[in-house]
Amino acid sequence: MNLANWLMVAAVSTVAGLDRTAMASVMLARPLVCAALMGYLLDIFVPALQLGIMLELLWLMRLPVGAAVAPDDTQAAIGAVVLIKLFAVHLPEHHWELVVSVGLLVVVFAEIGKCFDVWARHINERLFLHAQRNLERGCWRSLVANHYCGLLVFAVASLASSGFIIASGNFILNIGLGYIDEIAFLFPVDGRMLAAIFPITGIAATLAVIRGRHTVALFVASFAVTYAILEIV
Amino acid sequence: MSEPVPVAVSKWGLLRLALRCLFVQSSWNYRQFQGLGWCVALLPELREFYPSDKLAAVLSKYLRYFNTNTFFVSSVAGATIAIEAKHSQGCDVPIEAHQYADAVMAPVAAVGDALFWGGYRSLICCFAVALAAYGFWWAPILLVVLFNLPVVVVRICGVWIGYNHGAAVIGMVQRAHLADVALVLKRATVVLLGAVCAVLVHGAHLPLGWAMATNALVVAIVLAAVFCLRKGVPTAIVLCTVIVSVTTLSKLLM
Repeated sequence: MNLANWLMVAAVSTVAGLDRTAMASVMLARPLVCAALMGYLLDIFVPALQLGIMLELLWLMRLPVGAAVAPDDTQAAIGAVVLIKLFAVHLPEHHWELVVSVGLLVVVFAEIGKCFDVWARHINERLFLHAQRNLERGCWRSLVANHYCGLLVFAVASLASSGFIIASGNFILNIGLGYIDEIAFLFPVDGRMLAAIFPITGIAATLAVIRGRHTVALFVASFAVTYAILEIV
Repeated sequence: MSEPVPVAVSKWGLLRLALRCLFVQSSWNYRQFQGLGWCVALLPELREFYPSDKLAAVLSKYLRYFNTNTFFVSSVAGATIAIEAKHSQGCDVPIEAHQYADAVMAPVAAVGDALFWGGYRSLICCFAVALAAYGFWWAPILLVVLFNLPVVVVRICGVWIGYNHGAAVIGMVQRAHLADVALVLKRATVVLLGAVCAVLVHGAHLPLGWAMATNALVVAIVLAAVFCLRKGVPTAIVLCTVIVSVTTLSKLLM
């Protein structure tokens, strides 16, 4: 990857990270969207879209409301695409093994990545207190500056999160690169099927939160009908 | 003596208020949540209503705990500004503007979060995943467009409706039965999840008997995963367990 690629990674990571909490919430932060965008910019759209599908549903129902902070699936998706871009050239014959390994790595790192989000919110407390002190002195003009400084803090947290995911993933994959044949031997299942386990687990995670009446019956009926239609078509 | 006329906010002013509401969470913190963003969103209008010497005292009423839904916040802001405009000119108001905002933020958050975050977002994301899994590359674009169509309407029209109806806007939200709409959206999401699961499983081109057995296994895995997740097992552990189980089972069968 060249300097222009890294700058694009930083730009997408920042914008998507801000969209997650600090700004607008227009869904650029969803893994499907940011992974596809990152993949398009890095010229690996198809595997990036696959990673987006794998990660999209896993934490869909961890709602970003109140004080709840969900695992950082935005930076996880962006980091996963970057890792695929970095390692795909070394492992052309192990594409699916790489995709599944990267998917598993970023699922773990996403849990750690949310610590940066929590850190940003704690830093923002200082901005709030600073603004409050100034207002008590009658200086209301600092409110705006302190408020928009929060954007900068969230942007730094996003970059730190994606940087951590990419650096840690790079380190572990570099070690694992030597054992890829053994890993492929241990996990000889069709990689496409393994990749489908991610969204299926995401479906389970979503169903676990939706506690409505007849949830299981609706799910099973819809599954059966859709499968039958797909078979007929 | 005639009733004092409140200061009017122009359409352009309301649009700018709606745009500032996009940044209401920019300084989100654990102490006062959206408090600073809320205060900054209202600041330009409050500057028009009050002289500089009174402004700090007015702003201090807003610089406190505030937390509501990010999509409905423009409606609350419009209504708050409408009440504040009347109050600043000495008109009688049934409730002070900051008290109104304090009173409505929690109910609006409950309705808005259930509708947009819990209901509509889940439905649209599942739909986009189904399309992407079926091979439509433009699914991410559709996700962004479909989600933002109603959101933009709520954000832009919300501030206008809030400003024109004042405190009565909360009654309008209540009459719209948005909580019921959220419930319907969640059920639609469950149906769509079944469809997504079928799209993901389909395509292996197995004989009928094997296909039936595989489908039953997939449904069993999903239900077992739901059980574990409801018991509090972390998603990453459930995911790893499913991968190891499927790999082992596949190795045994092969």
